[in-house]
Amino acid sequence: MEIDPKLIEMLPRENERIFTEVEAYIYIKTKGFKSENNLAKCLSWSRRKVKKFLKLHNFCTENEQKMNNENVENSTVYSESVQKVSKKRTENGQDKKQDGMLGILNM
Amino acid sequence: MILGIDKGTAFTKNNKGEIFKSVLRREKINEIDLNNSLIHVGWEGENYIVGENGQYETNLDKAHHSNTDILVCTSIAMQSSEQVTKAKIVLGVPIAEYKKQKEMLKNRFKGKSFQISINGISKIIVFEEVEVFPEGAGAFYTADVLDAIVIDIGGLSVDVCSFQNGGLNHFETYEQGTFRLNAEIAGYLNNRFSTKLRQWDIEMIMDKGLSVDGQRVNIESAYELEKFHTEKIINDIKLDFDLKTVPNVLIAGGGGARLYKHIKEQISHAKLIDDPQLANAKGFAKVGEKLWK
Repeated sequence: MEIDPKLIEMLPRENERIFTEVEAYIYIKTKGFKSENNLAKCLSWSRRKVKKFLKLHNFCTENEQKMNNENVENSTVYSESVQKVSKKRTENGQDKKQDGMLGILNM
Repeated sequence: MILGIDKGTAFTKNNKGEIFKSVLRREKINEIDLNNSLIHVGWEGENYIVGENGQYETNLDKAHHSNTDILVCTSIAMQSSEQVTKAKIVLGVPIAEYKKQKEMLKNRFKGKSFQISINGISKIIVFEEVEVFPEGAGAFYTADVLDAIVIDIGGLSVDVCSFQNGGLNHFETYEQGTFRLNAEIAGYLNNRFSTKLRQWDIEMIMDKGLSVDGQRVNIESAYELEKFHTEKIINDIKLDFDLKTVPNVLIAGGGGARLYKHIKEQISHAKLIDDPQLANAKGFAKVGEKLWK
């Protein structure tokens, strides 16, 4: 769904009044949300309504968002550690070859 | 300048890709260089032609070869545009001769200066640092593996060394390089076709074929000799090394490149090393960089 920038401009300031569903949709699409609690506060909605709305419009719930973030972090950590291990392996390999080289020179 | 120089019996090579035959002869008075392709070398008041024709050395004692000084200095001078070149070089000797010849070859150059002229341009080579490394082992340092047997086939020697986890654990040198094979093939062809072929001619004939009295002749038997020679080399190596269980069998040297197709029939997992003729020189340069950079 493409969002008309004019619609965003028309959005009321947070906590001024209860958001309609369309406004909420545009709000979430453009601003995202930190937590369901925070979103409920911004939209002046109940937490339950927020949850239901997120599911209905296929937004990630807070838990799903957390899991995604963790996965991204984990995959970053994993790839960093793989890089470290492979770098270490290469360094070890090079070290071993260089030790071997020095061993030959000392023959 | 750090340079790896592989002064082979057949060719002198450096890691920058300079290659010429390891032979020299006195230059004749009023000699004309029709193709402007000869390397004219002035050395201790005499004029020589390097890399064309002449007698090659027939033993593995490189530290005492009379042509070693001129060939090594020619290789450096060809590489440098400076009038005075401060050289740090790594040279090679057959691996079985390493302990015996290492210091002798080092002392032949280290701390000394030589004057040489190449094609009329006078140069001074100052040997700041000299190291010696075994042939075959040099080639290992151009490959990205830790466990391998390297088979380095040169003109006179076949150097074989086994590396486990990056360290050298066994080595042998066999005097079965391609010169012996070329002599056999030249003898066979001269006998069969009444030709006057020399050892140096054989490699080109094996590559391009032979014409006698304007007719292409069948030299299939020469190919059989080549195959038989390879089998002999591999059989000898198999007595000393376990080629079956080692993960990498790397083939190096100009002879290695030439005989690779026959080697592959004997050792299916053999691999031709990158730039096989220059592999030792490139490996020697890596040793130099490790020591002096």
